[in-house]
This record gives sequence, structure tokens and C-alpha cells, in this order.
Amino acid sequence: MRKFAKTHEWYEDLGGGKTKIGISKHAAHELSDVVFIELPDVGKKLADKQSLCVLESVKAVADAYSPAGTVVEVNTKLKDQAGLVNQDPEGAGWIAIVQLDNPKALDEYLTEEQYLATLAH
Amino acid sequence: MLKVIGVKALDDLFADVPPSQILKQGLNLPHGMTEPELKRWFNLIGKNNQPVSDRPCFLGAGLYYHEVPAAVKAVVTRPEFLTSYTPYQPEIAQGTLQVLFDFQTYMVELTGLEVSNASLYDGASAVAEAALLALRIKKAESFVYVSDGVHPEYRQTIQTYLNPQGHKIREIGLKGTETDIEQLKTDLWPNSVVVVQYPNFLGTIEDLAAISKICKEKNSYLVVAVAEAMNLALLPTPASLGADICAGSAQSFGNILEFGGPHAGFLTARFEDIRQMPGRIVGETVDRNGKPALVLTFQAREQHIRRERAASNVCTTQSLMANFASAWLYFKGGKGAQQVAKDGAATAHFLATEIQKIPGFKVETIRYANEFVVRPPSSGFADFMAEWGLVAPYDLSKDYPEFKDCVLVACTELTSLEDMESFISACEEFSTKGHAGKVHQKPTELPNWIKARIPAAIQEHPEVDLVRYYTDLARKNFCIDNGFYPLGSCTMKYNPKVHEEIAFADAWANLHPAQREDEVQGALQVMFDLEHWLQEITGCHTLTLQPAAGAHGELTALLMAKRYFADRGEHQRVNVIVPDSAHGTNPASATMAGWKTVSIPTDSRGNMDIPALKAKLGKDTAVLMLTNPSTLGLFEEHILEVAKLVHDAGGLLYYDGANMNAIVGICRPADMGFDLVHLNLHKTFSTPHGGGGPGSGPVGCTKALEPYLPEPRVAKEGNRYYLKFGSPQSIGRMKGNVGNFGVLLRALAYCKRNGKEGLERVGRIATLNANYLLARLKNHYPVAYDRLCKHEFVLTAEPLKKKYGISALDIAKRIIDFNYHPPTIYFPLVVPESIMVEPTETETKKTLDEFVDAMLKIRTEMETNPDVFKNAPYSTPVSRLDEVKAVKEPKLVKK
Repeated sequence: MRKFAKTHEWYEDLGGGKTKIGISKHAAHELSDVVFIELPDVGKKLADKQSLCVLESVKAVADAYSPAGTVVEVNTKLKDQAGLVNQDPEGAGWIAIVQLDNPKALDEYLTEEQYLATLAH
Repeated sequence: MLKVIGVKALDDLFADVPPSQILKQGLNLPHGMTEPELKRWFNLIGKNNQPVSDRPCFLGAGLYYHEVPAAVKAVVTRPEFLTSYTPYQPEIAQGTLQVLFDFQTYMVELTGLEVSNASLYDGASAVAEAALLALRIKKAESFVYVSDGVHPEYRQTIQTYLNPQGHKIREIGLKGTETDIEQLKTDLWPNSVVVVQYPNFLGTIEDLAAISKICKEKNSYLVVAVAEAMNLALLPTPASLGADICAGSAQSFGNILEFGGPHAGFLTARFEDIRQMPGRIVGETVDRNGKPALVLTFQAREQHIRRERAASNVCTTQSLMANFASAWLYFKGGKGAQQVAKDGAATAHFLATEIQKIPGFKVETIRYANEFVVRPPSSGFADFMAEWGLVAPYDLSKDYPEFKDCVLVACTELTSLEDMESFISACEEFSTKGHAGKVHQKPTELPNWIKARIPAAIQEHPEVDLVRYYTDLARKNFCIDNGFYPLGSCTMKYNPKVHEEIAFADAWANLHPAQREDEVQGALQVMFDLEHWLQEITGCHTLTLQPAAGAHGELTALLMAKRYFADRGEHQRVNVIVPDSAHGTNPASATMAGWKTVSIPTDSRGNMDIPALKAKLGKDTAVLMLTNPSTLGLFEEHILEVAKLVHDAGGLLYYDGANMNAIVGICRPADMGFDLVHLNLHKTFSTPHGGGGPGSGPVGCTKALEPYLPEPRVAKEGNRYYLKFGSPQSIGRMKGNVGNFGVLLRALAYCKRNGKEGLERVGRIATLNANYLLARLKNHYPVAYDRLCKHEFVLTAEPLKKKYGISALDIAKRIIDFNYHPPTIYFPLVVPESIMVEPTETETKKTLDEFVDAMLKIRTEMETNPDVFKNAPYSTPVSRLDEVKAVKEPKLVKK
């Protein structure tokens, strides 16, 4: 099951404390054309709710945040095709896989339903 | 107008200023001058200068006396280039964008690298930015190794820029006049940055190939500094010899000496490093009709978007000076530039040979182009040359103890036969045993070892084509002389013509900053007098005129504050507090100073949220940076309380002078409690913005902070003006030379022309005009904060967007069709769909009424013809641009 953050990331539990991270459809729409993503290096250690990467559109930049952990894989396709984040933010536009320090870290995040409810306001 | 606004008297508009702050007696300054009086005064003071143009000149040392053709000056100083702002609205700025795009192309051709920015403040600060860029790319706590062959002022500036972020600088010494390659090999740690100059300060053409080989072996980045860019047209490109970044001064191409500035700095790098580059970048894309067009691109690097994470804090740089370089190169081409470089080098080699024939004289420099070191038989040579009537070569005693009494001799294409003869005669006289030969014809021979590069691929053009090209580009630019320019926060007031006439007089234009003090008394007096005017206007104890723009002033002030706290042992003060409405330069400057940014929200009246401020103030507070009036155009009503809170917490209060225009002659930042103050001379003091610079950002301070000011400072003893060095607490240099002197000169002309009475009307009329516009517009466009504004106000198109689907951007583009420059949009960030209008005091009521009529017409169109917005503007050379394509398929040079 996917969890969502108020800061518009989704986290997919891959088992074994690994989580796949991307940004929500709503965030991708708000950012409009993402032209570049400063991808983290594999092996990078992240403190809790630290910036995983910076997404850049023509006139704005935004961070995607992660729970504490270590980056174990990044979506290298984004290097040349940052636009995947707009085309398929919750699928092919995933950003990275992080090995969480605390496998239960995702518990505190929102369900999809709860997240969508925050957008309604 | 007051009736429309709903107040009785002009001074009622300042009811939000604490009464204790209002200047009861006004400014203690002289009366204004008439235009003839002003010209006469500058003529008289100019006589105290001895420009290089009427004597043999052998002075170089980083600034070179080259020809600036009349046609180049004529085309670049057209008002369409001189009086336009940074090209944020590409549909009406294709002229400026094209000349900057040309500049980028030429710098890439000359350096051999892949991308260029559209200029930086000057050579010294460009090289400092290049060192920071290299450090960002290396992503390590790297060392920076700087050769002693780098211009002393560049080295000092690198030091100032790198220290606050904790980077370590190591010196690489010289062997004779070239960088000690053996020392570099031994000392260089892996993963570092190396800075050398090409040719170096002493004239030697460094062995870049050997140096870059060492750098590659140690996985280090090579930054190549350039002071005499003309030699790039002659020598192999730095990139072909292994440079990773190239930066320096483009002054040699069409920039007059102007006592040291403004001059264009440049920076070129590899494409892969573009996202870390500082400064504006122009790129090619297409408009809605598929027509090729230019736009500022890769903006997400910059301070207005990335704020504290920006690549640099630079905003206004040197567009006009880059434009001079562009026009010069468009005119002369790669071949012409090479010929100029060859002339200088051939003359230098011939002269050096002749000098060597005179007993006791020795040429020290090996492998030089147009500049070399001469060791005279005894001391006092430079003084002797000056007495002989020459513009004496640079005396190296101060910077290089090993070259005590030696001089640095520079030749250019302007060095005549007679000049050489004078020089040789002086040497003979000095040696008293001379027997050098007579010079019969101007030398053209280059030594065999100088292998000229293939000329840079820059096409030369006949003068008439240069003029037509620029005339065509000028038609594509909107400028103040075209029409009303209500660009909020940019203070686009009219720039009086007399300033330009004064500034281009020989006495100022052809003055070299390294001339002897007695030859430049007039220029020093201009600086000294301007300081006095600015002290009185700001209430500051004293000032520096060195910073090249507002953001540069911010950084200067923060570095002063940092030193101040370090001296007091208060290293724990690391936070810079800014309101959320602040310009992006504020947080970006804080980062460059090695500090953290803390943001404070805005309350419902548009003031800073005091409880939030109280919660953030503490022992970790260093500086509160405040723009007052704020970027919302509102006076900070609690300013005295804010000042007290910050001071009680032990912090310093910094005044961002971006909006000083509202309060000139009414109240003063220092009286309100500000410890550090910067001014934007290119805003408040009416110096032309040049399409994105030159600016000037003097910084004022309290007595306690005076020792920390950058150096040199201008001082007076008896009747003599001089440059003062030597405060041990000084932060050092922020750039080369004394500042953007040409801008300072115009600002003094503005002060003297206006005088006390004129200056006291500036803030009042600017505020009257803004409130009048606000009163007339507010029933038609929603206002962000409905209270009396100062010199500008912020509307929000948010409700209109919801109702009609028409955004602030759509409104901005549509107003262009009515021959207005759009207001600032999407800033400040705290107001959604913001439209920020600043009329300035130089506009008439008629102009304001016509603008209101146009805005109301547009408002009606939202209901009657909303589709008209979608493709606006219709009247411009290009339509709206595809900015996504500009980043996704970057084209950053002419093909």
C-alpha cells in the first residue's frame, strides 16, 4: 500500500524496509513542466524529512523529502527524461528507492484517501 | 491627486512613519544646480584629472587603454539599451537579449569553453565566483590554490569571497615571472581547485598545458583568470590547453577605462556545469508561432527562484558593459581582435628589445604578449617616468617584494611611435648612459614562438552594418525613453541626459585607476563628495562606494557583520532573519556569507509578524535584513520596536535599500536604528540600468562597524584626496579598483542637480504617484493590503484568475499592447498572482491617468473578450516564448 506525505510525496513499501519514492499527481501538476532533477547519489544517507532531491521547473524549484534512510537506487531514466515525472508521476516517474532506518517510519504518513482529502481544502 | 487618494496634505501619506523619524528640518544639503552650473562644476573638477588619452600611456596592470570606436559608443548608448531593465519580458527585450547572446557566443569562441553567462561585476569578482563554482562542482571541502601570478586585486577578492564559507586558500609562488610548476606539483592535494592567470599579472603566458596536466593527475579543477582578454584573440584558447573554467575581465573590448569601472566580467564553463553557474544566461527558443527568439533561461539556478540555495546572489551585473564588448567584437571580428592583440604584442617585444640595450635595464618577463616587467638600474624609475610626462607604468614594489622598483609596462595598439620614443628617451635619461637606436617604424614582428591561434570565429562587419544591426535591435527593446515603466521594486525613473554628457568627457572616461594620486584628484573628489551626500541622505556615520550592485552591497554588509561578531567572540551568531516578502538576494547573500536564513511571516497588515520575530530572535541571531518600505510597498509600522528587539538580542539590523526611493528626504535608515545600509544608485539615484547593469550598491554603517568596511576607502587630508588602506579589521576587497566609478559620477550629478529641495521631493512625489494609481485602480483590481502605500503597491490577480481564468502573466502580456512595460509579476512570493506597480516620481499625472485608462480597458476585456489575453501581446516582434524548450533543448550560443 502506498502512503503519502503532506509535502506531496508517495512512499511505496517494497518490503524489507525498502520504500520507493515519487511525487504525487497533484504535485507534478502544480510544478508544471519539470525540466531537471538533481538526483541523489546511491549510498547517500538521509536524515528524517531531509531533502531527497530538488525538482526544477522553468520558474520554480521544489524538494522531495524522505524518511531517514539510505538511497539504494535512483531512477536514472530521469537524468535524460525529467518529464517522466509529469507524464507518470506515480509510475514510471518514480525518483528513488530508500532503505529506511526505521522500517515502521511509513506508519505516520497518510493513506491516499487522507492525502486527497488534504487537497480538497 | 490628494483628493482622489483621500488625504488632505502630501505629508499625510507618511502617517505610517513614526513621527519621531520624520526629518523636521529636511536634509542638510546644498541647493540644487541648474544644468549649466552642473556641467561647469564637473568640467572644473575634471581639470584635476590627467587622463591617459593625451600622453604616452604604458599603464596596464589589469585595465588596458584600447580604442573604443565612436560607432561602438554610439550604438550601445542608444536609450533602448541604456535605459531598459533586465530583460524579464522577452517580447519587448529581444534587442538586449540578442546583444547578451552575442556576448556569450563571443566569450565561448575566445575561451574555447562551451557556455558563458551574460556578464558578472568585473574581472576580480568573476574569478572569485569561478573559484566558488569550481568548489561547488568538486562538492568537497577542497583547497583553492591561487598562483601569485594572479592579479593582486583578484587574489584579494577571492580571499574575501572564499573565507566566509570556510574554504582554505593556498598560495603558489613564482619562479621568476611564472607560476612555480614544481611547487604546484608537490603541494597540490587531490580534488582541489587551482587558479592561474593567462597571461599572468607580470605578463608571462603561463604554461597552461603543463599546469592542467598536474591538475588532471590530481583530479583537480583548473580555473583560468584573464585580465587582458584581447590576448585571447591571439593565443591558443584556455580550454584547448586544459582549462575547466575561464573567468575575468572583458574590459579590453570596448569598455572605457572610467577610473576602474563599470567593466564587464565574464565566466565560461562546460555545459555539464551549467546548473552551478552564477549569473544570467540567455538561450534561444521559439515563440508561439515557431519564430526563433531569445529568453533568459536556466533561471532556476538564480536567487529570485532558489533563494538561499542559489548558485550565487548576483542579480544586476554588467549588461551594458557586455553590450559594449559585443558591439566591439561584432565590429572588429575575430581577425580584427587578433590584429589588435598582435599590434600590442609586437610593440611590446620591440620596446623590450630596445630597453634591454640601455645599460642597467633588464626585462624580467619571459614569454609575454603585450605586457612585461622592466627592472631599472636603480630605484625611483616610476616617479621619474611620471615627471617625464608619461602615464607611468605600474610600480610593482607594493605587490611583489622580489620586484621592488620594477615596473610593469603595457603596450596596446594605441601605443604610437612617439610614445615609444618618449619611453626610450626617459630610460636613457634615467640611465644617463643611453645609446638606444631611433624608432623608425611601428613594429609589426612577433617573436617566432608566438603561434597565433586560428582567429576566433567572430565575423567582422563594416561600420554601417554595425549601426544598422544595432538600430534594428534597438527597435525590439522597450525602454524608459519609449514609455512608462512601472516595474515594481526596480525604480525605473527617467535618467537625465546631462549625466551621460558629463560621464563621457575625456577627464573621466580615459582615467586609469592605477594612475598616481596627483593625476586623479578630480575623480577622488567625486567619490569623497558623493559619500558626503549619501551619508546625509541615509544618516550613516560613513560609507563604502565599492560594491558593484545591490546584492553585492548585501554581501559586503553581511561579511562586515560576520567579522564584527567574530571579533567579539560571538561565533554562535549564524542566523540571518528575513521577512518572507524579502528579495531572493537576501537569503542568497546570507548563504554566500556562510550563514543560515530564517524566514519570518507577514502579518495581515503587511508588517513583519512581531510574535514570530520574537520567537526567532536569540543568541544565534546575527542580522535582520529588512527592506523598508517592504517589497509590498508598505512602511514597516513597528520599525522602532523591531530595531529594539534585534538590538536587545545582540543582533545587527540591515537596511536593504531597494526601496529607498520612497523615503528619500523624509526619514533616514540610520535614524530608525539600522546599523548597515545599502543603496542602489541605479534605482534611487537615477543612473541608467543598461538592460541589467551596471549598478552600484554603496554600503553605509555605524561608527562601530567602520573598521570592517572594504578597502580602499577614499579620504581627504588638507586639500589632498587619497585612497586609504590599512584597517586590520577590514573585510578586504569585494571587487577590483574603487567601485563602479561611472555610476558614482552620475549619482553625484543627480544629487547636485536636485539639491536639498529636489531630493526632498523624491520620496514625496514617488509616494503620491503610487497612492494615486492605487486609489484609481483598487476598485477594479483586488489589492493585496489595502492601506496607504509608499512608492509602490501590490495587486493580486488571484480572484480574477478564478473568475475569468486570466492570470497576472496574462495581464502583464496584454498591457504591453498598450505600449507600457508590465509591472513586476509573481513577486513578492507571499501574494498569489501578484502585480507590483511602481510609478516613480518622474511621471506626470497625465501619464498615470493614461495608464489607468489602459488598465481599466484591460479589466473590461476580461468580461467582454477574455480570449484576447491568451495570445497577447500582439504588437511585439515576437509572441510569448516556449521557456520549457529553452531549458530542454538548450541553445546558448549563436550557431
